[in-house]
Amino acid sequence: MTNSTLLDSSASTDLTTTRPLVLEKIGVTYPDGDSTLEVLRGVSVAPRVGELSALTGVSGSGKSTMLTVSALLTRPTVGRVLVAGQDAWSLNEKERTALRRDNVGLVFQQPNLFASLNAREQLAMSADIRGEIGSGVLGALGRVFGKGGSRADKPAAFARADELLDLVGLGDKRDRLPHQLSGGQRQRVNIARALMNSPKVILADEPTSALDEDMSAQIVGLLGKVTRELNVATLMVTHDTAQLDQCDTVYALERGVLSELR
Amino acid sequence: MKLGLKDIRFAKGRFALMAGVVALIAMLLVMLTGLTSGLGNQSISAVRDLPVDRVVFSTGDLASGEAKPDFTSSQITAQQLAAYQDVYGDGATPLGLTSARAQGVATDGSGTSGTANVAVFAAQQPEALSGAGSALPKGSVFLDEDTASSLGLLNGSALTADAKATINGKEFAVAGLVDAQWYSHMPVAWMSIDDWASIAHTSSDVVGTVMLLADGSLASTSGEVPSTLTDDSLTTAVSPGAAVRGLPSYTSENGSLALMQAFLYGISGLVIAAFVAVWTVQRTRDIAVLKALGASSGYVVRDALSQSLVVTVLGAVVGGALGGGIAVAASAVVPIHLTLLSAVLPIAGIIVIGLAASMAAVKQTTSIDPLLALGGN
Repeated sequence: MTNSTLLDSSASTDLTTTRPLVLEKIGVTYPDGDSTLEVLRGVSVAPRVGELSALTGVSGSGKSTMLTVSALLTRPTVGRVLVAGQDAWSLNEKERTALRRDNVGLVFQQPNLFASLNAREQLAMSADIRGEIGSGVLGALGRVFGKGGSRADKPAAFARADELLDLVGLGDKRDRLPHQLSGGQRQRVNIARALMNSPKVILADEPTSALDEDMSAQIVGLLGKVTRELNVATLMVTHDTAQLDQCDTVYALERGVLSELR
Repeated sequence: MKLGLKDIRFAKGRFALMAGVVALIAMLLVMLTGLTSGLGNQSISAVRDLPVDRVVFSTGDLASGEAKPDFTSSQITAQQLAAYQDVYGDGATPLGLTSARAQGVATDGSGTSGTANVAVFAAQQPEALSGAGSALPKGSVFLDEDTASSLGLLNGSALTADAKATINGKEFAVAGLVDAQWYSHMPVAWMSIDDWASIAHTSSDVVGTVMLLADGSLASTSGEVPSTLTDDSLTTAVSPGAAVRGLPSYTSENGSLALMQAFLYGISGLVIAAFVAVWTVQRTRDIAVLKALGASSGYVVRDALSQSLVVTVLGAVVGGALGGGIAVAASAVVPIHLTLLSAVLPIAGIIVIGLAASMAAVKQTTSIDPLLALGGN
């Protein structure tokens, strides 16, 4: 992929569809004592839908910063971030949060599952955050204790959750709490949760860092599978070079400068 | 599907402990409210419930604006009474008060049959103030049932034949039973103002402790006692409700109990705020994940508040119900007076204070950075 070609393109509608995340000449600097630290320098990238892109680099090369910029959690010093065609930092915080909520799925390094929710509820929580299950204390109380409350959208959210748990191979473990799942299974729930909002972009933050080699291969394989089957653009930060063969594109960051290895 | 509420079900023990602390505070508060009301009732009910427009106190040398009502120092003279009767006619009457030791006289003539400390209330027409159904002859008193029982003057629930009691050494016939009323924690014995003069040992020009302006009297003076009258007669006139401040013991007693209640309200707020604050710190990563998943600050705050609402309401209602139950059971031996309203108010108070404290505590969730959810820590 040639980023310059991409960024010069005038076919914006097509871009929005095929490249839902665009980082355009991103620079990030942090104060560092009396000087500044340049973490990212002129980074431009636009992962393509249906492709699993890996982002590698040594510690301190700027991978995490690039991921948080892509997730709209860090504001770049220079450059633009387009998500689904919208310039994220031209929006106010509420609109930007909604843009992330509706278009970006995050796969955390640690599964970050909620201890009190079973696998199915971990995913349904994502729908609740988007207001799809209704709100209000009384409704929530009714739902928690299984009586009353607004349940109109609950079956739809749970059906979607079941579908995604089937996709990641946990259809028979939907009622298990996090402590009843293995590390690999928790990471699968983490991936399924990221898909719950039907995102256009998945950002994965070293999802295999705590897994053994076999499990890492399975998780990266799963990410590739959902990327292709659900037609999303996936950017995965990883140190695990053994898994790069499963990726469609590989980028490397060195001292804040991005290059495409493959 | 609120995470906060799911957490309650998941960590039952932790939240039960917190709700238990709130319940204990609510229980104490409801009981203390009942005790405050009961003790207050025992201190002032006879004055508070007087069916009159005004209670008039003498002020000594002070002008009426500077004087505070004081039953201890007030003495109404014949001149002061006359000054008021010039304006209000028979609507102005003296009320004599004194504390006394009462002894029942045994019907078989063997001596005393029981003793009690009483507050003597004396008026020209005691039957009108005491709620008795019949006139009180001179040389007679009205007692309430418990006092008559203490004096050994009851046969069942009725007075014994020829029931008599000595009050401050003078013998009185007990003419009938009236509803219990209290003054400074003593039951009231009603007698005529002339009889009071014979046991109160006052100077000859004193006709009563205070003066009463009968119900409806003030209509003739546009609803207020003229300041010229109070100033010229060195008196001050207040409503029965305000007259209770004339009992120094009531003011200090009620103030102390009210202060204890205020402390309990404060403690409940601090305890709930501390719990929510600590719990929020423990949930920092979960909250960061919620925010990273796209939850707004409002969503996170509502989630945390619904959690503390459940804990606070559960604790306050259970504790309040327990406190109410214990208060009702103890009311036979302890002066507790609890109504539905006085039981519900402390519960509602704890809930409101708890929510306010929770709001202050959960504000910190708005500053939690979703970036915490990323990375390996």
